[in-house]
Amino acid sequence: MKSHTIELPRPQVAADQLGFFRFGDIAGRVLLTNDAGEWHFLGREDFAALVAGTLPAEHPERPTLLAKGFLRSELDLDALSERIRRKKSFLGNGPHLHVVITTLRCNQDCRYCHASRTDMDQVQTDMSLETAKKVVDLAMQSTSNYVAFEYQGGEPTVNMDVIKFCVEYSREKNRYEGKTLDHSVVTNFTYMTEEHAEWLLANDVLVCTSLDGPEELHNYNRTWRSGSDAYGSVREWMAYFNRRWIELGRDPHLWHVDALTTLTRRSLEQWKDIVDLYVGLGIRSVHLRPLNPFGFASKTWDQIGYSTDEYLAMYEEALDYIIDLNKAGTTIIEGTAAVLLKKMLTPDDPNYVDIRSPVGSGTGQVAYNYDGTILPSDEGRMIHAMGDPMFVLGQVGSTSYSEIVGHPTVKSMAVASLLDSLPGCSSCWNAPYCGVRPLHNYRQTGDLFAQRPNTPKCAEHMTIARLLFERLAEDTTGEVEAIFRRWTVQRPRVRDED
Amino acid sequence: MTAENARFTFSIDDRSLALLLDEALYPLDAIYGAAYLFVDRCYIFLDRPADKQVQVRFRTKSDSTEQDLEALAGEFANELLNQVLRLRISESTKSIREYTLARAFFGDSSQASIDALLAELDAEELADDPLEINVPWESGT
Amino acid sequence: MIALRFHRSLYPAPAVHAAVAAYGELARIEVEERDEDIAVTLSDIDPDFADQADEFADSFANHVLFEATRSERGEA
Repeated sequence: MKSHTIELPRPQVAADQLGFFRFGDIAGRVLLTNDAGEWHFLGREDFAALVAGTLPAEHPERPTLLAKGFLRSELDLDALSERIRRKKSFLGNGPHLHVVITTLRCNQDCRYCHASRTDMDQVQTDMSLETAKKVVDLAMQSTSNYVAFEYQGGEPTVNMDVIKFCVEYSREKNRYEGKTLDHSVVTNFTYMTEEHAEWLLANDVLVCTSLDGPEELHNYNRTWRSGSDAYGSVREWMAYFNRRWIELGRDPHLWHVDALTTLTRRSLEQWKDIVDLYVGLGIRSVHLRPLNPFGFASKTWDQIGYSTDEYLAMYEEALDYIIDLNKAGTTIIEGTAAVLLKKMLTPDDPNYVDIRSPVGSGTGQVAYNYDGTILPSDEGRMIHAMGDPMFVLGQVGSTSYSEIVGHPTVKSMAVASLLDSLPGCSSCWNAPYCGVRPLHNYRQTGDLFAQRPNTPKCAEHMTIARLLFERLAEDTTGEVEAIFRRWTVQRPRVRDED
Repeated sequence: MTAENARFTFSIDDRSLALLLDEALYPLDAIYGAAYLFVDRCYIFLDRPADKQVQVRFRTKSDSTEQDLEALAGEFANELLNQVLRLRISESTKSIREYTLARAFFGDSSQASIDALLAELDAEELADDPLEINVPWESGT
Repeated sequence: MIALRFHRSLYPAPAVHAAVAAYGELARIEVEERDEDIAVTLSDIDPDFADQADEFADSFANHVLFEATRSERGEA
């Protein structure tokens, strides 16, 4: 056994001169962050002086440090409180995202989808109109002024009657509620007809599709049972909708088919082709999210899954490529970066239900299974479909709105994702921008509270935030920050569909 | 900028590293906070060889060289100093955070403080009231 | 059989019990609460982990540390 000694400078601390902040080493400097989401870079010597209370009065960084609340003297507590209130205003809203599973039936058999679909003859997995009415009655009770119905499946358009009913009935109810309503359908387009398309167009229903990448990759990931060309179908219907919206006089920047890609192992090798395809189709947002560990066997994971390190290596390359495209004049946003940048660069929070503290499960979103079972999110539905009723919150028609948002499971998930109270997270520089996914923790470790440093989401969120801060730190001309700010303004309409 | 250096003595053996820490310099809270951040790479065990002394033992999850373990010791020592700093800032700003978070989430915290103070005074008055003159008659039975 | 000893001043008893609950289905775990420490004995480890018994015990100890940290560090 060998014995060694190391010596490190012990920082002097004049804590009574400091505001509350967290800190970490990024890009060779020290990043300070606080509860209002403010952040500031300091060189190591300046940071040591700040902490020791010896930062000169005339130091050029001092006014900014004061304004952001990192220094105690002249700290405007009420202004800081107001910024925190604005940043966390989503806490007072209630669920805005209501995921409606119109059916489990699907005519595709995608490699990453197992528990959330059935074959086309399983008509008993269609939602009934009676159940749909109870879903709308419950969703419209949300205290949120904004309510977004998102129709998923299976392939949701297989049960078009329920989509039509929910759209019309919620609008009828809204004559008295006065909420802002959105409706969107997440479709693979393989069951689309001109009649259905025209109804969706006429009724202002947003359309989002799955586009995994170029033809060979898309058709590999998303097997169409009929043996037909799934990729061709998606391209054909995207073009149809986008053309018809223009014909109807709609602004194509706001009215176009959004697309989501699901990244398999093969996708990781073709990330550039995916981005180029999206750019070529005029899609302004690509969301490079890792594959969720839900709904399929470990054998399948071995075929299509990948490690967090592999994902993050791809992400860094893709992020830089996307930044370069923007520098060259092409507007294309990366979805996760846009969510984090909104937290970093604006006084608001995007209220993205999967990356917030506490998590939005049950308090920002609710999912309704085809049979009226209420779950805190679509991921909760996946776990339910795998035979674990842990996340069932109740049943439409018999469970009240207050019973959902006050459900012990919802409270447990909130506690398990409250970054201020989690070891490792409460003192992490990324706390103002991060989010914990208790359902992921549960799926991977059997515990809502997992050991955070061991979870893929910790590595994912911290690495992506670090990449963004590094690029901001190294941005001497302000060009990258200008691009990032545009990403926060042009907020993608994409919502998490997994 | 620094009054003194912090000295860390550690021993290395195979895949293991052990440091002995003085709890007077490194509060337990800081030791927990620093050690926990290494659970993705190491198995960690705490022991108390003597009063106010904490031994932290690391065993790396994958193979490691002596250089790896030296680097790990440096990283942990650095994190421990950061945790002590975080703790100092956290303790010193406790009332600031309580005020700002209360005001952000529950409105006017000065009113809340006044209400709390009045309730405290009421409680004291009751405590100084052996004849229970202030106890409402409804609950006095 | 692997014996572990958790000093009471470093590992609160509820933290040890929480880890026992989490690992209880994977091994036979005996707990003896003594004056200074809590002695934990792991035996009959699940066959899936039996050839990595040291790692199993170390993971158990990490879980106790996690629970101890969680209970001791409530806020920033």
